[in-house]
Amino acid sequence: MLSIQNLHARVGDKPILKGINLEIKTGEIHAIMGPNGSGKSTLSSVLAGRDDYEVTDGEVIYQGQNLLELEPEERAWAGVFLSFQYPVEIPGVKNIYLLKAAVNAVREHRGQPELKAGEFLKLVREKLKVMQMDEAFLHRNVNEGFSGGEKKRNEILQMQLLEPTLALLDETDSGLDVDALRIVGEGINRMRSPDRSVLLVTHYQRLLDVVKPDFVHVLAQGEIKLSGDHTLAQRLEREGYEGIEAA
Amino acid sequence: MSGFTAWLADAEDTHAMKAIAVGLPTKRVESWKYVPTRSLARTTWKQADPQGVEQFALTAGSFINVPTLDGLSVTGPDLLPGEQRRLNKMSEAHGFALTQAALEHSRLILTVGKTASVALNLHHIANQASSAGFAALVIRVSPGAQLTLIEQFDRTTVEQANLSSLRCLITLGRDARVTHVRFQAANSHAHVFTNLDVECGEHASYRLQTIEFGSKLARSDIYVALAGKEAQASVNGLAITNGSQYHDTHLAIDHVVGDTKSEMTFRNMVDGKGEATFNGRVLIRKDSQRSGTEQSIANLLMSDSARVNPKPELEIYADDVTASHGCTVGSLNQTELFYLKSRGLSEADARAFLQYAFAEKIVEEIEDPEIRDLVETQLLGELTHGELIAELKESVDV
Amino acid sequence: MSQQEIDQLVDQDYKYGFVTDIESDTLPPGLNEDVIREISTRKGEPEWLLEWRLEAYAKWLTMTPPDWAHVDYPPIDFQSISYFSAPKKQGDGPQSLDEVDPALIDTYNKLGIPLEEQKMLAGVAVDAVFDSVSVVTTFKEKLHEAGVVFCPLSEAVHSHPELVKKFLGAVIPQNDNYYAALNSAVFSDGSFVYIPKGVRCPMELSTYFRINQQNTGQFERTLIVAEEGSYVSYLEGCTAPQRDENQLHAAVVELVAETDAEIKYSTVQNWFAGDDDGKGGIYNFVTKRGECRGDRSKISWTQLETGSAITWKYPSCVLIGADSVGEFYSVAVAGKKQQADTGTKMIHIGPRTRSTIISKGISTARGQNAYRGLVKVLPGAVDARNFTQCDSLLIGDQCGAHTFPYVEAEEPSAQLEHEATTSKVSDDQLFYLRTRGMTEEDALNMVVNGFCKEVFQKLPMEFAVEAEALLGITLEGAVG
Ligand SMILES: Nc1ncnc2c1ncn2[C@@H]1O[C@H](COP(=O)(O)OP(=O)(O)OP(=O)(O)O)[C@@H](O)[C@H]1O
Ligand SMILES: [Mg+2]
Repeated sequence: MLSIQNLHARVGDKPILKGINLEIKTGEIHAIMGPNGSGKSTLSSVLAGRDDYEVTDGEVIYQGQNLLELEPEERAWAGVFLSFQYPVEIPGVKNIYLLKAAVNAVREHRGQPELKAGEFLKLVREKLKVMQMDEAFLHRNVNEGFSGGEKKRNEILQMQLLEPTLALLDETDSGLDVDALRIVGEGINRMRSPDRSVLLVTHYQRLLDVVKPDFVHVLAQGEIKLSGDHTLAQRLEREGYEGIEAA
Repeated sequence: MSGFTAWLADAEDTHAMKAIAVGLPTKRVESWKYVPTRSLARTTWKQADPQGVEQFALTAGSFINVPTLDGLSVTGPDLLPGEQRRLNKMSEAHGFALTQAALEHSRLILTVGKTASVALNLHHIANQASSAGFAALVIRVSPGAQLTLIEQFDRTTVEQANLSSLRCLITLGRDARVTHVRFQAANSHAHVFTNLDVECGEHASYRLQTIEFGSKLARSDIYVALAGKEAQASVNGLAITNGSQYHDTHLAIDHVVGDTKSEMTFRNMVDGKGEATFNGRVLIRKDSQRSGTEQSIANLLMSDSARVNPKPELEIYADDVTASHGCTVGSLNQTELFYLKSRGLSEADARAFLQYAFAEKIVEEIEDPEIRDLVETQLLGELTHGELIAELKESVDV
Repeated sequence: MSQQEIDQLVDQDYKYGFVTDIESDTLPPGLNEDVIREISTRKGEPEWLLEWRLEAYAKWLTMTPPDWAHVDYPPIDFQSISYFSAPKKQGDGPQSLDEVDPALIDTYNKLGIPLEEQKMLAGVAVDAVFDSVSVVTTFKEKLHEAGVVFCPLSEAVHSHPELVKKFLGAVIPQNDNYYAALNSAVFSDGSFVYIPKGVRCPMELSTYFRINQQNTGQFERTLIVAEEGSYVSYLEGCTAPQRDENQLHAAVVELVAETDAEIKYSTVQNWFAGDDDGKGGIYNFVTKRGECRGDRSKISWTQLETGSAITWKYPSCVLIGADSVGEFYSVAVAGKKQQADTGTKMIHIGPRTRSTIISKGISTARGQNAYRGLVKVLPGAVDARNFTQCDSLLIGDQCGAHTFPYVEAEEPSAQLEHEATTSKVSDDQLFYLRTRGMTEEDALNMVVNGFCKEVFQKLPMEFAVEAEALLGITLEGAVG
């Protein structure tokens, strides 16, 4: 589904990604862990098409096409979804406007019929329930004044509505209380399917207990230093990055 | 002031003579620094003739169909000394202000009775080419009374330059409350001048919302005096300036006494070859202790030829106060655009969303649902890709 | 600075208020073409410069004093001012310290200016301007080796005529404004700095200005040119004796930064402020402007303005070169009956030009302090950025703090941000510090110093200390 080869990216003059190689097959869940500032968010942002980062080398092939050539919205239409580490507040835009506009934009490009208001509301309400979010969130401005955890739930709500084929979840577990962690984790598990892949950035084992990854990678200093199965995460939790890097 | 000279020569009062002597303000007059006076000076203006309409309206410098409402009375014709003084001060500002005074065609004095609650809807209607109308409106809001005043500048089909000038005095008695909405969507040949002078008594509260979409040239001079303890004023405004429009708001809030609060929020969105000026001044006088003011001005430049001149001013002579202002100029926020696009919105739709959001911050504050809907509908018409949002509103707002 | 030092400092009044008893050569008051000719003759100037002065004078006669500033003073009688005063001396000007009148050296020592090379702050070259004339420039030799020219402007007219001719008035034209025109006609002396291509000036350069003579105006003119890839840091300090009548100071400073060059210009202005009732004091009407002509060039203004009865000054940057940078860091204090109207102009012309404005205004006693600034972005200044922050602190209920930021934006990709706050010193902060054992005055000093930190950090090390001390003196008696 996704093949990243020798990916280099920088911000201004500062190189951040220094040769990332990663293969994600359909249906797999990959977790990326790594110290603060190692480039995890940079990687997910580059995949989603944020242009603050300049790709200086390498290639990303997604479902047979060159992902890096696509505009952010084209990636969204093609099924790429990024859950932001810091979801953006958009004062003045109602959450529900964004949700409906996004859902229909994506549907249109998938050749699906537009959802009528009634159908859409029904769908949203269903997902709200899953995320245990109050309907009032729909009528508030996008992420404006949401608590940290509420923002993350809102991201997963969007994901459920957009039904991506490749979900990039950047620290979606950070800032969540115990219950929310479970809800978000289950939200992700619900999306699990043989034709959908997930790239999960996280610092903690907790989420990985709920969403069991097929592979775990350690990203440090802009490179993937180590890969393994889900036991690697447990080792990291015990030994920290220092122990791993020394080994 | 070529366009006015002949006309003023007939007027023969002292204001007119002074106006001829002083001439239209030039760039050297600080408060008129950015105003393009060319179309004003070049047009040969003539007094407009009133034409029949059905609503309460100001047309051709005359008020017609003044409504009879409970708690509202037409008073006058005499001004109170304080009102006279305020009008005089208004006329002395510069040559154009003198002209406004000299050519004033009519004056309406309204009183909102004690503890009455009145809603008044005034339409401004321009209906003749090269015509100009000048009028004054004086409103006395008695203690404890409430007034909702909605002014609407209707988009008419006049194909040539037209001008309307309204000088307005509003006096709020103790505990009075006024909500004032101005929605200016005049046609693209209109020159709209508004001078508004508001005085708030003790514990009175004045709230103004001003939305400017229309006209070729619009200039508003707004002065709010917080003259009684615990008076408060809140002014927010939005100007969408497009084509070759020029919008200019000069707003001053004067904390005459202590324990007063004010707040101003203004947003300019400029596109095409438009130019917008906003000058927001807050004065906290000596001894006006325990006063507070907050100012926020945001400006969005949407095109290469757009121009904006914001200026938030604080003039503070008392120490126990809190005062702050913020002012930003920029184009659409890149992170917000990216966020929307990463959710599948096209560039054009994402831009429309953010423009709408920028404006909506002001529009959503309008309490009266009817006028708010009207403003919102026209707002969407002003945006290049407003259709998507219009549709969304239609479908998911309940 | 230690508490002890602060204590010592707050115990004094304007300590620079002495008059030096020195024989001087002063032109009688009055201004006309003959006076200008006389100034030019005494300085042995070439004909072109006299012409230039006369041209400026003709322009000045047609101009009117600016009236838009938030200051108030009676009209100045320009005929009652003397336009030239020089300490009497033999010969053509001092060649070394030995030739300088000992009384003068003494004056500078009292001012704390380390004129004698032995006592010199490490690495600071000093040019001292006394009334109208530059009396001594130190460290000439070392600078010469580096190829740096640092000398009185009057000397540069002779030693580097082509440079002076090329750059004089290049940034601030004669008729830029009323006081700049006056300065162009009668300017007395000032510093000239030229940093050749690729040279990093090996030491801080510094000029001290002092008005000594009664009824004299001081009209110095400074010109700094930094060629491609060069760097210079320059500091000026100003004092004047305590006198009952007002004295006029109308200076002009022009800076030119070529490609990749950087000029850092710092000012510690402590002209006599007048007494508590506003009697006496300097009218400080100054025009300062720098042009970032080359790509990636940078001009940075840092100022501490504590003195003067009236300050009217807006050090500006014209950002022409792509990616050029302008900065303005200012602390302005208005106490007594002082009036300050100061700020900056940042004119963005080139693409990706950036500017930062940090202004801290402090008002005490009956002082009136106004920030006035303009950020202008012309079409084509693609991706220009400005950040402005002006904070005002009010100490006492008789003073005023005012903010007049102008913005004129004509470029959609520009991003400008302005923030301002006005408040009094927080009682909570004062109380907190006092519960920790500080006197009210010390606590105030500490809070105010904290308020100014951002700006002081931008001053060259040696002067940051001086700046804090000066602030301490100025605030003396502000509480209670
Ligand atoms: N816009 C930017 N400007 C400058 N530096 C940046 C920018 N974006 C990222 N960086 C730097 O790049 C490095 C990698 O950042 P990134 O956000 O990818 O880290 P991360 O691995 O996600 O860290 P964390 O675990 O803390 O979220 C950091 O050193 C960061 O400071
Ligand atoms: Mg991160």
